Amino acid sequence: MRALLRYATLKSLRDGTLAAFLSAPMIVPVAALSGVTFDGFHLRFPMFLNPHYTPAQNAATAAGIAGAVCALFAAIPAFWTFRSEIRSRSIGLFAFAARPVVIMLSLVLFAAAIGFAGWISAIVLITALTTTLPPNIGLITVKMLTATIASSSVGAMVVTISAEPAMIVCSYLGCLVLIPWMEKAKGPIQLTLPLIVAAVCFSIATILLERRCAS
Amino acid sequence: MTERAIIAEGLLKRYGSVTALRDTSFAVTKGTITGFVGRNGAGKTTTLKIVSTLMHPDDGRCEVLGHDTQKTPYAIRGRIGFLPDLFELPATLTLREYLGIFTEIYAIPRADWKRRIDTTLLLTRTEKLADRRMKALSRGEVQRVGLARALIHNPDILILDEPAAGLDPHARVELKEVLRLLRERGKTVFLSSHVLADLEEICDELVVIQNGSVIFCGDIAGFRKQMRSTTRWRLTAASRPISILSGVRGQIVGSSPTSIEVEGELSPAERARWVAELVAQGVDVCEVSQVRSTLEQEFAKSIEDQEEMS
Repeated sequence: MRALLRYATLKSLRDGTLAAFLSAPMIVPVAALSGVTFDGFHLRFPMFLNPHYTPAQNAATAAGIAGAVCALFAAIPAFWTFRSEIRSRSIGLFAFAARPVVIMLSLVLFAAAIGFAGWISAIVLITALTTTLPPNIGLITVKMLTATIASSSVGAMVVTISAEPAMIVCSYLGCLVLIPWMEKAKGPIQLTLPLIVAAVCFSIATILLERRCAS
Repeated sequence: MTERAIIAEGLLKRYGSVTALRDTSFAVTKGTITGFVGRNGAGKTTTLKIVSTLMHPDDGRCEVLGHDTQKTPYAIRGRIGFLPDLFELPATLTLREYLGIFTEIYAIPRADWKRRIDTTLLLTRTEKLADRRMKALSRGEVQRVGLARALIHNPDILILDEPAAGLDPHARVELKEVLRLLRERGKTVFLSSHVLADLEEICDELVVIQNGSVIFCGDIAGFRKQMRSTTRWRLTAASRPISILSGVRGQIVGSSPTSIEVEGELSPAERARWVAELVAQGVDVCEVSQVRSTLEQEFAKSIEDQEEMS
């Protein structure tokens, strides 16, 4: 699995997609904070989204935006990283050396790691710009971890269904349900729901990958 | 006793209402280069995918190195190197990085990585490409890179699907040299190809498939023997026209002003009498030769025969 992760990292590092995947979750909340704060060309610090909110409330709102973007963006590397290999059936070459379940697990972990790294980076930036950590950061981080795993599993499943670029829209749509869940989920049962979704998508993706290798 | 690397028995494969393989049986001997010949759509790629465990047959069984392809596919996959007809390379990686990733996936000990990569680069003559990113490679280079990837784990069997397709003559010669070298090292090579002249040069055995059924499996001499009912002879004169004698048992199948081609079983005595009489008539005979048909012609004939039969 380490070799497959290295392959995915090298490939996306060289074609520039890794930087794009990592920076998008940071750019969106920071752009929102900057857009509101730089009103009238006056720099104000700490930055805010609503001048009537406390820094903690502003940080929580910005973290909400970052979370939604991260959840959506974890699906993209899962869809994109092995897309050309799946489309050209070259993924079958890897299947001689590694089982399809290992290939899929590598892809999901890679994409989830990117999504989660994007989240951590975004929270660091939000904390720096609003001067405070978003409240309930522990719970939000657990939610983000499960959301990025679910999201990357959805992306991996979609790419094995069809590797056409337009299918990326389906990955987005599949992950949209995660956004209201992130707002409302509290109890342990609700927190494990995305993991169940991830397990189902992962199983389907593995079966489809095996079929892709044969076609 | 001859050891078999691949044994296929009664393979059946259907894609919906289309039957790709029907009762396909053949065997590949260990340590040989075996050519797999057939027209487009004859079932070559389907067979190669079944042999390489990527696909399961609907019926029949296939054994590779003593393992059943359906029961223990993972025991086989690590021991074969597969080069598909079409594949894509990661353009942003260098060949050395690409091979490095496969050495790791194949769980080759870390201490052996460098040696294994260097040996493979040397064998496939890809040393010059090693540290170059794999974009803008020629078709020949792509094939050699694919071959290097298929060989990186030192497999026992190499399965190549149309490896010579799209290669220029020089690249073809290089590919043949690599395959010969692999045979010398005891590897079994099973390759499909449309370029029958290349197969004739390097293959020890041949499997011919037509409409999903194997119509021949054996050595090339055997294939010729099975296909040819008569021998062809050519008589050439330096300047004067040649005619066939009334007593010669043969049928004229081709002629030019100074040569004649006859199909028939002519004994040495008959050939000598024919030449002697032509010389007596003043014909300056300069050559009597047996016309050796190419494998391409034999293959075309076998296909025609099969079509006539069906």
